[in-house]
Amino acid sequence: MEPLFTCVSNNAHHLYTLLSCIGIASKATVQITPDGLRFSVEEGRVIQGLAFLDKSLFNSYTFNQQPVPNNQGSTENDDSSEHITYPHFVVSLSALLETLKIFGINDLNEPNGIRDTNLPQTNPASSAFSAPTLLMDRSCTLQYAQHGSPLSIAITESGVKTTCELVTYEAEDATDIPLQRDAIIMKIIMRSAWLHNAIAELDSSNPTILKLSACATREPFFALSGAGGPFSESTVEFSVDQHNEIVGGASQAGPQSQSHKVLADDGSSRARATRAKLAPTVTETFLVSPPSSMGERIAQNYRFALIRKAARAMSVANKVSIRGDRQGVLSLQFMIELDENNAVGRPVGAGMKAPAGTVCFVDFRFVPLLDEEDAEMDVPVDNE
Amino acid sequence: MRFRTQLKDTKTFSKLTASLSSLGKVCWMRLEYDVVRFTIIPDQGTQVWAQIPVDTIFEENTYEMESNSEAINIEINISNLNRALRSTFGSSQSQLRLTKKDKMPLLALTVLSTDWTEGNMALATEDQDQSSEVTGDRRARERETRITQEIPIKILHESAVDGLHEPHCPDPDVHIILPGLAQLKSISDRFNRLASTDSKSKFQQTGMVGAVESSTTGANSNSNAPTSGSGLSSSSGPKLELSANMHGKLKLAIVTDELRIASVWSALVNPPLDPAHISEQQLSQLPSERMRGVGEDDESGWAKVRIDGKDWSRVLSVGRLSPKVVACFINETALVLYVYLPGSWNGEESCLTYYINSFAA
Amino acid sequence: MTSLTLSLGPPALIKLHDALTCLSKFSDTVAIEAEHSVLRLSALNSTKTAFASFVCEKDSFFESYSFQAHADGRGSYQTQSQGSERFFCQILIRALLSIFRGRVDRNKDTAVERCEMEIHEDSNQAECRLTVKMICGLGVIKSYKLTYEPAAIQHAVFDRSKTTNQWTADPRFLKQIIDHFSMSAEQLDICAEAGKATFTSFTTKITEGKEVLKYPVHTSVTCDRKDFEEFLIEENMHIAINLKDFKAVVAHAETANATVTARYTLPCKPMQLAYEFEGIRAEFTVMTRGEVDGEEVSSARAVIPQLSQRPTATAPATTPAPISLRRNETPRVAPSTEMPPPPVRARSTMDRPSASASMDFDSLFVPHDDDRQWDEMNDEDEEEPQDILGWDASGQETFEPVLRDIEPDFSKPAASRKGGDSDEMGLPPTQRMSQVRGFGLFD
Repeated sequence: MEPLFTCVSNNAHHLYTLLSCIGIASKATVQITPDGLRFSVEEGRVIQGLAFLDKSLFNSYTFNQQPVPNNQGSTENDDSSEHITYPHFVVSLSALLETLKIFGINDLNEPNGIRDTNLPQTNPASSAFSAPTLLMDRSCTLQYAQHGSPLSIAITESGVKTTCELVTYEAEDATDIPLQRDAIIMKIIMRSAWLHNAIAELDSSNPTILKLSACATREPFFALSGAGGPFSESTVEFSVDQHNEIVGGASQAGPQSQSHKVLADDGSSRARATRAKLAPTVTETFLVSPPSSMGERIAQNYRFALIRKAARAMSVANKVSIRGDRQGVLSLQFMIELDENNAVGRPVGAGMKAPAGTVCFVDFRFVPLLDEEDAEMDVPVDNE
Repeated sequence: MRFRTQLKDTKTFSKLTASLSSLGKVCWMRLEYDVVRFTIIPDQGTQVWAQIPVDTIFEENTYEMESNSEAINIEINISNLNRALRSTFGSSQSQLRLTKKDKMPLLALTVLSTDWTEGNMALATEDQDQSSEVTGDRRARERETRITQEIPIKILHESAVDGLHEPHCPDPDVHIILPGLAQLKSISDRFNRLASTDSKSKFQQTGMVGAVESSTTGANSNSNAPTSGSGLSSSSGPKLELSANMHGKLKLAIVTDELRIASVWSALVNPPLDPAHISEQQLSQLPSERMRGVGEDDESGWAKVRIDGKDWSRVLSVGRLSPKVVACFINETALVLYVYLPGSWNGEESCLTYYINSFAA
Repeated sequence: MTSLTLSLGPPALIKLHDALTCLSKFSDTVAIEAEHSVLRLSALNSTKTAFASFVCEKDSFFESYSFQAHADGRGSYQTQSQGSERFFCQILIRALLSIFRGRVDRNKDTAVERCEMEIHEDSNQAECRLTVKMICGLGVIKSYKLTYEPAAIQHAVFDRSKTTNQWTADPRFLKQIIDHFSMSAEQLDICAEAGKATFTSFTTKITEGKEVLKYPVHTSVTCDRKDFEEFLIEENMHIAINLKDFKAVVAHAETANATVTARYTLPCKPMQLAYEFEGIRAEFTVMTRGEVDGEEVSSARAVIPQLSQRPTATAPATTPAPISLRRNETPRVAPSTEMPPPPVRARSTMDRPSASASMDFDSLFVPHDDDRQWDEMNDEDEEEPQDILGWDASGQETFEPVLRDIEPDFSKPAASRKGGDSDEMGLPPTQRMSQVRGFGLFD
């Protein structure tokens, strides 16, 4: 019998890169759709992560869709009912990630990644296998034969064939954290690296609460603070860069990289345009429009431990869109550019443009804290 | 009793001791006229018997060994020896000798290093040549440094080691040359992690049990899954299944509650046995020859052992010596590895033999 | 009201981090003392046998520095004489290390451009706050508020004019010596004989009877006096210090690329290790042990004497003499010891080209092929994505990479050392014989 679903990729690193962004829980719900695979994870209904593996990531993608009656229960809410006709199930995400790491195991003789060290690679086997020509004859196949089957992953390379069958579990009735798209009161787009840097900075003082503050009219326009830590209170403020305002336009040919220039060109023109609008220099889009009942400033608190879980995505992604709705639900949408040439590409930093890379998205949603005690109480739970 | 020698290939010696020390710290080192034997017999787990010709690690013409019993038996902490050998890297001369200090027997390693680094004191500058006159006696010169490492040991009387014998094994069902140990170890370690993430996630998943339980039957049933991952103490790992046949295939597999995974290598070599040692008739009666006759696709042609994942990983650390390894499978009973150091492939002299028991299913 | 305002450029920030990292090897808290012309950071270890201090010069270390003291504060400052007011407080080093990190910012655009620090102490305000502001590129501003405690600060006194033994050496050379010592070695004995210097590591821990194999390895390294820039040591005198302290000093001196000068007199009297670099004077005063007049003091049970406030003269020869400590409250006894002239060799420190990184030396001890891949897999910490938000600034994590710097151990990744001493002598076995099928194979 023809399997319900089969897809083949010759670069499992891309799949790994995307899935590792949401590797915050041990189990993930997988949904097979005609357009790609949707992986979602959640924890305690207060954080949700979602990665969509577009079918374009695969060399072949075959989904023999059968008309599946909606027999999965009638309690689905509107949001997910449209998905329910597609097969979905739960698998161990941690096991899937570990399995995907077997792909290209010869490249990374040292488990922590040879690229982090300067040690010369003298193992003749590994250097032979990392020759680009040899990368061609390896593949990673995902297959789901029928409802209830295991999800099978077959990885073939350099004389070894590895087959992993992941037990599939029935999916729970998952409810997405609702983001009111028609009540978005904040939308900030910036390089993900800067958000990552800010969160990493705050994290070093080990706070329990992340305070987000944004205002369109007064300083600080956009600030993130960590509170509740043992040592210090720390704040990262994204302000208008006075220095660049003045010198900015003229010093484009400075020592910055080409890619930075692209941004700075944007930035300088934007900076001039937005100076009237008072936007932080690092933001590409800065829209803050709280309802009059909230006053001019949006101030919301989130559990820091949850935000920290999106760190992997922040570090991998190129851009992030930070959105908030009237209820305070925070959405972080990460745009990840997968580099075709660099298997473990991390398009981080000052905007490395991946040449003709595939663009993918990873989403996180967070429920806001209502009061500070909330965070203090829950913190031990997420002890990793 | 007297032992004194110059070291020859300290790189190999160091890697050898590093590999041995992963299995156990207490090592029985036996110095004979022609060979040096290293044996590690941990209370539990794999034991290793290594036989190294004197000239593999020692300068043969400087090798002095005198003993009434024609051998010196030493008990030594092999990690200490390994650590001490690091001092020999880049040295010009290293000597190992048996000595005494305050009535305590010691193995003393003396290293003479004449060209320690190019970074001589007050030197190491790029423009050294131009300014050599100015720097005077701070010019590059041979710097002589002497390092002494005194490793406490115990001398074992011959009677103390009389009872220690290398295990005797039945003829293997399957013998096969292992693929590159780097790859084998990477995949084995990955499997170990898969088994441990499984046990970890079970821990975290209490909230989802309901859904999980109800669906396992519908999914791929793995009721025969061993209790892998359970009781993961620091020393005992998950149980890996390693099997091979006489048609060049090797399989590494593990089964947990959440997954079953297997890696299969093909086109490996089943080395021929030396006809000089075995008559044709004997040969035909060997279990491995019977197994060779079994069809390639027949399950019964496979010999299988179950081994501790962590122990296996420690064994594979011998890969740092870039050896050639022949694995002998005694179905459901044991796995014996013959590890030949580079250059001794034919001589069969420098050989480490690992004895690994199979766990019951 | 007392106020201290200063600003630092990026290179000084790295140096500040390095100094704090070094101090953290001596104590959990750092004492900060402000004077008109210098800022001093110091730490005294819990057993009071080692005192580390970094003095940062107003003009050469800081971009700007302004200190004003007025006599209406709450007592954590003092006026010793006109124009020599000082202010002091102490802060958890971990808290500071969470702010001053040594790593280079990955995002060049938003890298730190300037750091501003302020302390304003006002008797009207309840809390003691240190505010730190990092001005970064593209308008990113990171700010921190830290609490500090007022403190009485102690200094170890060391009179350089009485020095009878003195040697100066390149820290990379000293590190090579250290690298030969076993990880568990605790003490370091230094002795000169026939124009050679011998450094011997030893451990005073007693291991009894049968556990012969647990006896520590004794390592001695003998080198020529020509390997030192300066070498004036009494022959055949053994003097011993804590190896861990020595390692901490050498590791920092190596990052600072400054030659270390050791000064001492006799065993059981303090030794000072000192160097200067780019606006910082580093001084480490450590207690020594050894034989005095032929009498063995460094027996296994000998307790290292504490640095104390008692005068040194009263100590009998057999019991080690304490280092005298001076509290700041008391007037200075000997100002000359406090501000000694720069050592003779100071210039050569500055002139030394920073060429030939320590990697060259490391390679001595790290095989060219990566031997680590053969080690046992580390379960817990494998493959932490390098971008993970860690506690990279809190206690252990910052400490570990530093430890690794000074003790490169190619046989084990640093994380796996967490097991501690227990696996020093033998891994627990993996298989029970009873678990093995009873074929009587390996009897």
